[in-house]
Amino acid sequence: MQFNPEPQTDTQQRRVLVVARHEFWSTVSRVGYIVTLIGMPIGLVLLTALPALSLALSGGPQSLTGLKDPDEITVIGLVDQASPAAASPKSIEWHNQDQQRAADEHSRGSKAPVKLDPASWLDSRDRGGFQPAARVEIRLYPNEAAATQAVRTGEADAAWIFASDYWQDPAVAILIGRLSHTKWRVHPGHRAITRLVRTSIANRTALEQSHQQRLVKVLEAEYQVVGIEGEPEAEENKSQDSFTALLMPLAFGSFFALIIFVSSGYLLDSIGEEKETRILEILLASVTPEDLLLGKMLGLGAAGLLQTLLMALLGLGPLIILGSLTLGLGQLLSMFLCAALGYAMYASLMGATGAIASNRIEGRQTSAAWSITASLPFFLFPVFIAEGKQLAAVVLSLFPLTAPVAMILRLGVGTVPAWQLTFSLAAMTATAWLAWRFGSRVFRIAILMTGARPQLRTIWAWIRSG
Amino acid sequence: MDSKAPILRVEAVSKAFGSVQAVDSVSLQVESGEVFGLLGPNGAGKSTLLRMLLDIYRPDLGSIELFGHRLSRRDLDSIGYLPETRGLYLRRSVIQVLCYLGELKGLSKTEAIESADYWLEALGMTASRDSKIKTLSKGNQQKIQLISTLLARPRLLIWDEPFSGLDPLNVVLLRDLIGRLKSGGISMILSTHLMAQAQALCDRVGLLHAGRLVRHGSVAQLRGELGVNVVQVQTDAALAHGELWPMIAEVQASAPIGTGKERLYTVHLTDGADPNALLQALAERSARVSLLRPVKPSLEEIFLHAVQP
Repeated sequence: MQFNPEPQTDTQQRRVLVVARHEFWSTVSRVGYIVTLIGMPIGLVLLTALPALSLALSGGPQSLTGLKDPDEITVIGLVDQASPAAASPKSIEWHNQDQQRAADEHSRGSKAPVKLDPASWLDSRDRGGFQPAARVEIRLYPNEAAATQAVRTGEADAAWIFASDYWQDPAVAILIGRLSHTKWRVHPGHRAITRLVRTSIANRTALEQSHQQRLVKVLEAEYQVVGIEGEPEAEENKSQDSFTALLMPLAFGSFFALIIFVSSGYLLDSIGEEKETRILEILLASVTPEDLLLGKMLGLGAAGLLQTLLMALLGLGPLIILGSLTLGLGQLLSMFLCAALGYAMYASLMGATGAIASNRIEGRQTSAAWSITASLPFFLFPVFIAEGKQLAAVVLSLFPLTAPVAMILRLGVGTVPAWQLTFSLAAMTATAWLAWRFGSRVFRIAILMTGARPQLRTIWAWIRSG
Repeated sequence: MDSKAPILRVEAVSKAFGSVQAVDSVSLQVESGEVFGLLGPNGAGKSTLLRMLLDIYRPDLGSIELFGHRLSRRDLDSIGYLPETRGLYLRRSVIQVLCYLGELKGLSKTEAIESADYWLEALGMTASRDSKIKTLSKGNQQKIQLISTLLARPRLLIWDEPFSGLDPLNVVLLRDLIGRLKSGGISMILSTHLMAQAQALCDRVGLLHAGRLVRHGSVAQLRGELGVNVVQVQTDAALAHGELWPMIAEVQASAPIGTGKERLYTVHLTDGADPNALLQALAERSARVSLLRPVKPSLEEIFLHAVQP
């Protein structure tokens, strides 16, 4: 009386994958998961869209980028001391004429395609994204003092400064008066200047390609924003700037941090359920506690990632439409890496915590300390504004337990020095490894424990004993 | 591997949790094809010992050899384990749960399903194949748990309290299954409180108390070792433990038999005492003796005798 299947030549990895697949499908097929999957994006869309709608109703979508009323012109100053000029006078003249022409056509309500001078060095794409509310006129100023004066008096909203040695030693400064620099990346003025100068760079074929790339990088991303000395930031724009500065990092930080919290929550529930149903010991007769924990982390991480990605796709839509999305691929990848490492770290810790707890409720209560620690940067979000230059933001993004969310927020706000990002990722990697190693030791011993919760001293003894 | 070599050899294994010595220098072995009973009260260390056999816990001291070599994780595919505290995924179907547990034992999905279907039919559970676990009775859930231990052609079965929760019909079914598995050459370790079941099913037993193996051997051997000191006496004398009856260590009396003063006594004699000494003492008191016979103790009595200080 026996069925005689031959067990396959097995590997540890295969077992981990069997657990991961089981956990993934068990989770994604639950009603709660599906309801959350559908319900949360709707909530996020509403959450994102309502403030934007409110602003649009009060001042139009241009209020998000600090632009003026539709009939007004945004004047951008340009001090071009480079030789040859960073942006040729002819191209500036053409730009201003083209903006005027487009505005005229808009006011007439013309839907006909815009006819451009075929001899022009610009094609239709370079008019790119003209909006009535984003009409930009570029004015040349002879020197920085004149541009400063123009910005101070309000004649120009901002001024781009190209020094005489720009072609040799690329550096771009944006002189601002009323507006925070965080919006310049999406401001039509920045787009206009960038468009003109990029063409000049492309025309200078004698330059080495690497130097051309450097020029473009400085122009688009590594410019310096300089305020007018003693000039206070205009109050009426501060709220708009804050909104933009807050919305983007918060939205992206939330999406990536959600992976940590959602997946860790699933892990905690999974362990709690298996402790409650008492199936764990049956599982442990086939798979090591370490492999079981790893399989759960992979499967539930994938379930959390899927949920977060779908939510992000819907949630990010309005942000993209509103023009707030300026993150590069590098930043997005770094954010994802932070989220993955953060998840590995907190999943290990929560796995151990869930193993110590006797049921799901107790597990959630016990693990609240981890959730609070992980989300601490959200509570301290104000320190991240102004591109994370504050010391507290730097410290939070380098301390491993707060680094995942903190670094995601900093990446969302602006550029992070390479050494800080490297250090933070290294610290997170090391801590994730330690959390996995020690967490799985606690998991191994505590997973079948019942009765009173062990004291910290006992847990420490488990960790040390291995 | 030598076919006559023990399938499992445990050498001086110890395990402590903090200040609690759960298992203390236990040595035993299980021969190929035998049913070994591991007996003991709650807290005796049975579950801890079984978990060490499955590499769930690592021993602090000692060694464990399975199938002729040091225990490794790969050996677990050849062990079917039914723990005492057990459960299943209540919201999943029977076949889903069995398929998952089979895959964890190294079977492919197809093999796991085929094996599950085979055993479901063998235990009369085919009708519940696609039912959710939570809809099954406790007894049927236990049968699914038993099936899960049989999916991957185990060479050694370790069942902890397999009879708990089963109705009498299923107890008979399980006893029959154990017999058939044994005749199929599968070795088994049965851990149970039910001494009568162990006595009926096990070739050899080990008695565990406070982490130590206090007795082990074949059931007949253990009964023989202890049996000389227990007798049943039917008499009208009032037997009691005390100075008057120095050869009596312990005595239990029945109600008076018929209308007379006679009672049936089960007498545990002191170590080294001869039943004839009791007979002589009864004769000296002119007591009427209707019956005096030696009694082979049950496993329960052997166990109680072994753990009493």
